[in-house]
Amino acid sequence: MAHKIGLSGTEYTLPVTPEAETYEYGPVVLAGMGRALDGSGITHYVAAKKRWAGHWPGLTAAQRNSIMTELERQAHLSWYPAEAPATQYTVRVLSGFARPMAEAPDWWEVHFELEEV
Amino acid sequence: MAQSLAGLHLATTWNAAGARPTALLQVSWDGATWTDETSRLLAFETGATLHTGKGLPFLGENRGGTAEIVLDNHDGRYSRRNAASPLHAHIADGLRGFGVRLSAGYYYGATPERLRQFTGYIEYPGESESLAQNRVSFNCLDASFPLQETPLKTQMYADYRSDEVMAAFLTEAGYGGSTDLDHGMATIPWAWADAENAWMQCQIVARSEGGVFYASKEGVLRFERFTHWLESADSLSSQVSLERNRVTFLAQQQSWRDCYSGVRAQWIPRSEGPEMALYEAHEAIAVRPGQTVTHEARFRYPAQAAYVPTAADGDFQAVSAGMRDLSANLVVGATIYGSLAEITLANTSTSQTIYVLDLRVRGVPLLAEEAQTVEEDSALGLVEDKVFDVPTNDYVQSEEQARLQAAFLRDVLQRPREILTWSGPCAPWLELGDRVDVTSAPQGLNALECYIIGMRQTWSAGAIYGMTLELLPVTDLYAATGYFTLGTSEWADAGSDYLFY
Amino acid sequence: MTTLPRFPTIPEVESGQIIGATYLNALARGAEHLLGVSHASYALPYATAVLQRLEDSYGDMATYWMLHTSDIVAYGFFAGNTSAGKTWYVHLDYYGDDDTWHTVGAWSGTASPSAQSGTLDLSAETQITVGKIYQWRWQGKTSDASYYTTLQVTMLATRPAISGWAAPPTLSAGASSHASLNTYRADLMALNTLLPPTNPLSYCEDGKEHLHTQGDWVAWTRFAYRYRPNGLSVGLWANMLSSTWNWRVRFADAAGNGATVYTSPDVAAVGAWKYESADIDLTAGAAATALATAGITLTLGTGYLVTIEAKRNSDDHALNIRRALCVRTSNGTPGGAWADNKLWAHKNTDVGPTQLNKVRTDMLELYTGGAEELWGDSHAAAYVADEDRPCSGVHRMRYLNYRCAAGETPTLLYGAGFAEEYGLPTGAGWLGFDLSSVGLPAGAAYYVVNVEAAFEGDAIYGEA
Repeated sequence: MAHKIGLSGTEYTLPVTPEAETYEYGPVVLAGMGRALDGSGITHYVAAKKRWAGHWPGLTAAQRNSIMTELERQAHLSWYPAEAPATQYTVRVLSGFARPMAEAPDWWEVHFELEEV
Repeated sequence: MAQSLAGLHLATTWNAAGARPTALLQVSWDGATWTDETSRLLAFETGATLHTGKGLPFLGENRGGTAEIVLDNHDGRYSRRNAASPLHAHIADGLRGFGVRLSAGYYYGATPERLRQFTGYIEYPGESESLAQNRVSFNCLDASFPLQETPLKTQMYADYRSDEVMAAFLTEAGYGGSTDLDHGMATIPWAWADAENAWMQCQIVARSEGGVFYASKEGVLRFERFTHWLESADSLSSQVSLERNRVTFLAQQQSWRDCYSGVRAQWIPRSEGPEMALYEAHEAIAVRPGQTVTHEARFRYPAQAAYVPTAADGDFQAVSAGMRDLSANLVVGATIYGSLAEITLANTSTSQTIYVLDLRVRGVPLLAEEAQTVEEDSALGLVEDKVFDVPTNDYVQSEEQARLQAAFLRDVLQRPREILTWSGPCAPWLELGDRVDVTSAPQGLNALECYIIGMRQTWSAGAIYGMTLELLPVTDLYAATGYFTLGTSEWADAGSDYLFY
Repeated sequence: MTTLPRFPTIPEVESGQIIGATYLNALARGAEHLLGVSHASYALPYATAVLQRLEDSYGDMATYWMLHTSDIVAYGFFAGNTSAGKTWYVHLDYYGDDDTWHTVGAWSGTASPSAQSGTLDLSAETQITVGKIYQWRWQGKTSDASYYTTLQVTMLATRPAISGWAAPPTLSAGASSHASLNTYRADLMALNTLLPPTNPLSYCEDGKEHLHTQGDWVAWTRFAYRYRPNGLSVGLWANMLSSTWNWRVRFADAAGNGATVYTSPDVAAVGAWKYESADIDLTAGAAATALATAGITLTLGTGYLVTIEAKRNSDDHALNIRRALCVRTSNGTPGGAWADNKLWAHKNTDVGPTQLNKVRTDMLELYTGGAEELWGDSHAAAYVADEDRPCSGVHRMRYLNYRCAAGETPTLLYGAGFAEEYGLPTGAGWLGFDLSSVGLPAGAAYYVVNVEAAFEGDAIYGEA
């Protein structure tokens, strides 16, 4: 399986893996919290979802456009992360933007923040 | 009574500092199968109570348990005018009357353990949309819903025990669900229902002997007599200890306003009067050729017996406008109820309109005699000259019933009652009437035993799955422990268990 | 509106149920209610004189109206002949739904007098329905015209058997059970259900102008006493212009032993109708002595004949007598092993065999063979077609069922000295009247005069 993102069944295979320096992923803990009258904490856990953030560097304009097309869809996306490309997650896009690479004209990087639904 | 915990670990998971609640919401759109709508569940709140005023069961009406369930509606799934909704065929005429089941509990490891928290029907929906938030809330009523819709007319029942009256009313109302009815403590000489809804009628019957009638979380209609909380295992021993390290809100209120020096109960005996005309029409009833007219005849008095009108008995004359006798063309039928009759008049003539003159229904009336009163006064002297009048109840027709009410209520109302409110994480197996014990050192509550008389559960994003209980301390309700229980207590000429009222 | 004593409503109990004072008091009150009924005052039913018939074809000798409360009919009569060895023939018929007379009992014999009593089972009869009033007749005949068949009717009543009774268990210290208490309840209700829905108003002979030889005692009217202890209240009206007169009450058993249980002093004539009465305790004083001397033993349930006789003390003045009244009275003393029940209260701790078995003890006295045995007898009302007679009794039930005599207005006489009068509505057939609309005191004696027949009932009944 490959590192992909897009609508389920028509995912775009990403040409590169995210830049190591900025890539991060981790849990989003969904829970309710209360404190008893003696201060004891009560936490009711609902679910632990995942979150990914980072950027893909060194993209051509065409690649940039393909990735941005997927990130701009107003829908839940199918996501195969770089560290586990065989595992499929359904995510929503928290943020996605493209910027030119300062040190390499005509090359682009796309930054992303995804959250599992 | 508390729901069964057999095979479940809820008794520990509810109390964990870190727990994982779980819910399951099902709706029956087609009336036969249950559809899982949990993935759209945003929040819910359920509530059930055994009392209205005076903080006391046995006196108030039970309006039925409720639930408000908030669901995501971003795609218009629950919008009745949205033709693209997969539910459109079911909900096009409105979202009312669909069955709802809500279960909730906690995970034990990876296994969800849930118990039913609400069984009922959607009473009315509310849709709202604000920016990026499209939701619908179902306002639901418990299993009492179909009975609250049904006006009930029944025949006269003589010398039925209270629970037998309720069972008869429920059958007449077409109720096909489960019931769990205690034996009543009293026999009602004459019982009938007259166009009040079936739920209200059962409430009144229950109150006539100080019992309560309500729908359980699982949708079972329950009648619990006066003494139920002294007999049921889950009311005799604490089902859960509510400790200080789990309570998020605690309140106590003592009501002196509802403290009385005595109780007056009324009973209205009825006896059979001489046969009389229970109903006389004050209009000529016109029945056109081929027509069948249904005429409601509401009696002056409830009737022990009423007779189908016949021309031979002089109960009516069927004539043409020219006063020709047309009784041979009139087919008369009647459905006789306790306080009214529905008379059908069918005209078999093809050309003549029949005028039915002086229609009457004869029968044996049940005449109410003067209301008798019993009064039981308190010897405590906490308040003076303040007597509580038990609201008149049509089904309190014997002195035994009135004395029972007056004696028990006197002992209960002679002390000011205290209601506790306890909020914290939800213990999902608890039900109304269960006994719990409450501990909170600053208030001096040291395993104070209480009955649950009201319950509310809430769960929404960012909050814990919580419950708020209204609690009635046990000592305020029953004057003694160890009452004589058939099958458990022993016959003894001295030192036997206490005789109840 | 009047209120009348009501049998308490007693609910069934179930296992695991807490019982209270209200419930145990209801059980006790059930027994006490039935004791009260057992000691009720009520009018004794009419007994005929010794009637005679000469013809050798059946003809009416005595006629009755009877509400059919049960298919079991109890009868009692003395038959005989006026010529030794001759055969008397008697039969008993009812007029059925099919407008035909049906014979349900037929007897004959040569013994004279011959005491006959027993019950007839009418369950196979198809033309008689429970809940309706039927005509009954006693007919007699002879074999030839040389002698008379005699008949004296002392009993005609429907007498249902008790239903729903199961031997009540004895409770002993130890495990309690709802089933035992439910049996007590069922038994009390069975006893209560047995009670008849009617209260007799006894019929007496027509008023009489007594012209017999002065000093001669002559019988006038009779009543049949199926004995319940312990006394009688007897009364009559008399009108004589001058001199004095006496009356007495004779008491006889089936074997023919007779005693005078009461003799009045000389009653001075006042020239107007005046009521005379006496309360007689059959178990004490002169009455008891007279019975013992005559060899009469009073036994619960055995039939006796009560006869009122009169004598005038002057041949110059007619003695007019009318409107006899004969009521069974009781001093209320419970018989047998009757146990007075406890008044239960909240928090009693003697919920045990000693107190609870009292209900059982009492029920056994009220049951067959007990000292307070309750009877279901609903007596027939004697009548002569279209002729008016006085009926009298004790007001115990709400409704008066009556039949008018031709041309007469039925009237209630009640109150002190029976001075209050109330005219009843007239009409054809059996009529009903709600006595609670008149100021008739419960438990008081009263007359219904100028009727063909009358009885009190818990409802208004119709003729078949």
